[in-house]
Amino acid sequence: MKKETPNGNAAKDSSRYIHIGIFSAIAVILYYFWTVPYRAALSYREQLQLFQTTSTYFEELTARPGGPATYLGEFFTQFFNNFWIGAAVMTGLLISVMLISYLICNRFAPSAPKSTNLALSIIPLISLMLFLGNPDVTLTFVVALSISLAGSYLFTSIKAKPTTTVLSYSMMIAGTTLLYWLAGAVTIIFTFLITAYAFKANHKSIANKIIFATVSLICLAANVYIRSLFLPYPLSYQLIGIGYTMMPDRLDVWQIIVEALCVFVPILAALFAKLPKKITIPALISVEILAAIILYPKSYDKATYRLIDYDYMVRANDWEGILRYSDEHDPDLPLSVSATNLAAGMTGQLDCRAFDYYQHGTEGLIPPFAKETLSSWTTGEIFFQLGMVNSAQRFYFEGMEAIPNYNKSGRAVKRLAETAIIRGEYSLAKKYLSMLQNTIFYKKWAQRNLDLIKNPDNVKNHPLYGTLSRRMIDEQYLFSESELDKTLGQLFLKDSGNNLAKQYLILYPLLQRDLNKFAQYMGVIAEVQPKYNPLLAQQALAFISMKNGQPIPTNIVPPMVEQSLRNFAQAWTSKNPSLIEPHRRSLFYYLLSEE
Amino acid sequence: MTKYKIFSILIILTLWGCGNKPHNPEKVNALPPIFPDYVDVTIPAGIAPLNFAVVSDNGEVERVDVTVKGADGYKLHTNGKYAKFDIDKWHKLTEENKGKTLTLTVCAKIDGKWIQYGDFPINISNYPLDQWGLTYRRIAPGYEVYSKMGIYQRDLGNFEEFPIIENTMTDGQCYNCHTSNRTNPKDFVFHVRGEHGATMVSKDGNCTWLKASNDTLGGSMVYPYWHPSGRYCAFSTNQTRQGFHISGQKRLEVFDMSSDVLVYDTEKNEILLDSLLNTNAWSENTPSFSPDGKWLYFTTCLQQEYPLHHKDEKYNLCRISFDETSGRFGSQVDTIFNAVAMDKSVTWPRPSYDGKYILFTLSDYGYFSIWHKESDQWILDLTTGEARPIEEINSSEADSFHNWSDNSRWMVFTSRRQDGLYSHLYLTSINDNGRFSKPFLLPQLNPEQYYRQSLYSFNTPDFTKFKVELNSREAIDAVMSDERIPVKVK
Repeated sequence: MKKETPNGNAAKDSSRYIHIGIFSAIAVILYYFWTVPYRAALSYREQLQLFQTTSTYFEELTARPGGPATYLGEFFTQFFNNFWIGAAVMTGLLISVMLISYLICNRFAPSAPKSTNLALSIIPLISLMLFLGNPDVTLTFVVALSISLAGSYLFTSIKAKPTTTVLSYSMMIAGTTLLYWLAGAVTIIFTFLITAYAFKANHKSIANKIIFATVSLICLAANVYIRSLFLPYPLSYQLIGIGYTMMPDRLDVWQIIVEALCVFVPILAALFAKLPKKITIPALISVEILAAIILYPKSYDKATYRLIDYDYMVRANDWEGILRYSDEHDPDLPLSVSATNLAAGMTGQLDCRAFDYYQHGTEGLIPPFAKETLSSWTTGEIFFQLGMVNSAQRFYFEGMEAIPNYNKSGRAVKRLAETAIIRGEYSLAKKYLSMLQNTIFYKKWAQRNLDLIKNPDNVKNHPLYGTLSRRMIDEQYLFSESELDKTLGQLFLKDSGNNLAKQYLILYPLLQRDLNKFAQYMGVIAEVQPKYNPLLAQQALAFISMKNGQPIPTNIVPPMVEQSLRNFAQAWTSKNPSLIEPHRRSLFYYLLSEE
Repeated sequence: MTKYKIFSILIILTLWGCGNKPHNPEKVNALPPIFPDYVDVTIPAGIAPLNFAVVSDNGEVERVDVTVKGADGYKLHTNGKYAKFDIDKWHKLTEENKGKTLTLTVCAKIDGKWIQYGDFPINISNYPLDQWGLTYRRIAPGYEVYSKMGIYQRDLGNFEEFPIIENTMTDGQCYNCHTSNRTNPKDFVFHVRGEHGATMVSKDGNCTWLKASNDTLGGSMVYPYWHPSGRYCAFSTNQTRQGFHISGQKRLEVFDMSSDVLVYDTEKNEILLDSLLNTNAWSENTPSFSPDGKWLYFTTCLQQEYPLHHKDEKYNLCRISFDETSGRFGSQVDTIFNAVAMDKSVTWPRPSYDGKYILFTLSDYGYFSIWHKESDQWILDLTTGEARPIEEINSSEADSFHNWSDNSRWMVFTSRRQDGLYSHLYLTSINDNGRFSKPFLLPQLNPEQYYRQSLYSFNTPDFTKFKVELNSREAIDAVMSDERIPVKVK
C-alpha cells in the first residue's frame, strides 16, 4: 500500500474539510429555502395527511410496495407542522440523497478526484429540488429515493469485495424484493445501477453481464407483477409509484428525470474519472447553476405558490400577513381574493378597503363549492369565521375527501372536531379528538379539548366555541349559493357583534352592483347600529345620490369622499384611459365597469 | 452473582405477572363500562368473538381480565389491554351453549387498582345464522365528494374482511346498491356511478355491464331487489339531488326530482314498465319483491317542488301484483302502510323471507333516512296488518337500512347511535313473538381502536350465504372499458 506523506495527509484532510464545508453550505441554502421563501409548501404538504402513531396505521401503510417509504415519508412530513423543524427534516433528507449519490459516484469512480464526484452528486439534488417544485410531490418519493440509492450503495459495497456469482445473484434478487417492498417503483434505480456496476466490472464476460442485467429486470418485473395481483390499485399506479405524489394517476416528467439522473450520474463519474478536475468541476458547476436558474421558475410556479402562501396564512389565521402579502402581490384568483377579503373583514377593514384590491364578484367574497381541497378549506374558513358552522363543517369535510391520494387531514379533522364541539356533537368531537391524540403535533390540543367537552358550560364560555355557537342562526333552511346575502343578514340579526357578517352583508350587494339591495341592507344595519357609516357606505351613498341627480348628503358623506367621486366622474366621462386608471381600484369604477 | 441476577429477574417477572392479574379486586355493584355494549345481547353460535374494551373516564384502564362461563361450567379466560378471546375456544363455547347463557366476569385495573364489576350475560340464540357473512359498502359519510370507498364482505365467523370492489382500482368511481338474491350471491348486482357508470348484473358468475342510465327511463337503475326466481330484478330510477342544512342538527337532505320503478328481465335484457309505476305526479321508489315473487312492494310520494318543499316529501308503502310468467303487473296499487296519514315517511321496505313481516324505516320526511336522526326501525306484521316501531332496537340517532338473514331470524341494520354521524352495523334476532333481541355491534378484533379510528360509514348491509366471488381484475377492466350493453324497453 502506498504510504501517505505528511503533506499528502494534510491535503487529504483539507480536501475533506472542504467537502464537509460544501455539504454544510448546501445544507444552509436548503434550510433557508424551506424556512423563508417556501415554508408554506411545507405546511401544504403537512395538511394533506394525518399521520397516526398507531399499529393499525403502520400495518395499513406498510402492506403495499413502497408502503414503508410512505410511512417514513408521512412520519417526517408531520414535522412540517413547525416549519423550523420541518425545514431541518427536509434539508436532512435532501442532503442524504446527495451524500448517497456522492458515495455511489465514489464506488463507480474510485480513482476520480473526489471533488468531481462531489460536483456530480449535486446533479440529482438539483433535479430533486426541481421536482419538489411540484407541491404535490410527497416526502414518500424523497425517502424512497434515499432507500433505493442506499440499497444500490450497499450492493456496490458488497460487490467491491471478492464475491461469488451465487452471492451477487442472491443479493440482487433479495435486494430487489426488499427494496421493492420498502421503496416501490424507484427500485428501478437499484436495478439499473447494479446492472451498470456489473457492466463496469472487468472480470466478467459480456455474456454474464447481459444475463445479470436481464435477470435483474425480470426480478423487478416479477415483483411488480406479483404485487399487482393483490393490490387494490391499477398497474399504472404501481409503475408510477404509489404515494410519490398526491396524484396517483399522473406521472410528472421530472420524476423520470430525477430517477434517470440518479442512474446516469455515477456512470458519468466513471466516464469523467480520467478528465482533469480543472475542466470538469467548473464545467459541471456552470451547467448546474445554469440549469437551476433556467428551470427554477418553471418548477416553482409563482401563481401556484402564491395560492399556497395564502392558504398557509388562512390556516394560521394570519390576517395582517395576508393583507401585507396582498399589498405586495395583487390578488386576482378566487382563492386569493376571498382570502384577502376575509383578512380585511377579520381586521375590520373590509368595509373601507375592499376595493383597494381586485374584486371578483360575490365569488371573491364567498367562492362557490369546488371539488378541490384548498378552495374548499378557504371557503370553509370563511364560513367558520362568519359563524356558518354547518357550512364550515361541510366544506372542511369535502376538502378532506377531495385529497386525491385518499389521505385524511390533520388540519381538517381539527376543524371538524371544533365544528362538532360548537354544534354540541360531543360524541363526534370525541371521536375526532381521540384520533388527533394519536399524533405528535395535535395531541396536546386534542387533550385540552377533550377536557373541555367534559363540561358543556366550559364550551359555552369558550371565547371561540361559545361565540360561534351563539352566532349560529336558528331558522332551518337549506344552503343556497345564490342567496347567501340573506344568510349574512340573518347572522347579523342573530348577533349584531358579528362584524364579519356585517361587512360581508354590505359588500355582497355592492359586488353584485345592486344598489337597491345595498340600501335595503344598510337600512337593516342602521336599525341596530345607527352610527355605522363606513367608507364603502359613504361612497355608495354618494354614488347613488349622484346617479339619481340628487344632492350628496353632506352629513353622511365627508367632503373627501364627495371630491373623490367628482374626480372619478370627470375621469370616467372623459373616457380617457390614463385618467380613469388611477380610479381602477375604487367602488365607483367597479360599479360602472363590466370587468 | 449470576444466580442473584437470575433470581432478581424471576422475582421482577413474578411481581409483574401478579400485577396483571386481579388480586383482591374491589367489588362494585355495577355493570362494567364496556365498549361495545355487549351486556345481555343475543348472538348466534359460531359468530366472531365479542371482543370488547373497558372504558373509564375515571382513569387509565391498564388491564382487563375476563372470565366467560358457559352453562356447563366450561370457562374461557382472557387477560390483556382489552378482552380478546381465542376464536376457536369462543366458537366451541358458543356452539356448546346454544339456547343458553354465558356469564361474563369482568375485572379491570384502573390507575393501578383492580375493580371487579357485576357479572353480565350474553345469550346464545337457538336460531342458527346460516350465513357466511355480511356485505356492505364502506364510505365516508360525506356530502358530494367521496374519497376511498368500496363494497366489502366480512366473514362473520372471524374478523376477516375482503374487498369485492374498491374505487382505488378504478380512478375513484362510486360503487353502490349492491344486492344479492335472498343472500345468495349467485345473483348479484351493483351500480357504478360517475364517468364509467354501469349497472353490473351477475348471474352464476357471468357479469353483464348494462348502460348506467337510459333516457327512456329518465334515470339510472338503482336500489335493486331480486325477484326470488332470479330472472327479474326491480330498480328505481331516482334523479337524486342534495340540499345542505345551513343550521340545526341535520346535515343534508336527499330528494328526487323524479323517480319510477321498473323491473329488469335478465333473460331478455328487457325493461318492464307499467303506467302505475311510472307516474309523473308521483315518485315511485325503493322496490322489493315478496318472498313468493307475487307482489312488488314499493314506496310512493306525491312529487314536490324541491328543495323548497323537501319537508313535504312523504312516502307510503304500497304494493302491486306481479306475474313472473308473463312479466305483467296487476292493475291495482294497494297502500299497505299509510305513513302520510301519520305525517311520516316510509322507506327501505324489506319483506322477511318467511313471508311474515315487512321491515321498514320511518322518518319525518324523505327517504334517505340515514341523515335523519329521528328515523327508526318499524315492522309490519303481515298476518295482523299491524305495524309498530321496534323500540327494543331503536336509538335516539338514525337507525336506517336493514336486511334479513336467509332464515328470517336475524336482521342487520345501520345505526348512527355511537356518535351521530358514522353508521355502523348492528345485528339482532327476532323471536317467535316478533320481538327483537338487544342489538349488538358487528364484532371487531380490537373494536375500540377500530371504531374510534375509522372514518367510514358502513351502509346498505346485507347477509351473504357464501363469499362473493367477483374477479376484481376483470371487473376493473370492464369498468374502465366503458363497453356497456344497452337495455331494451318493452
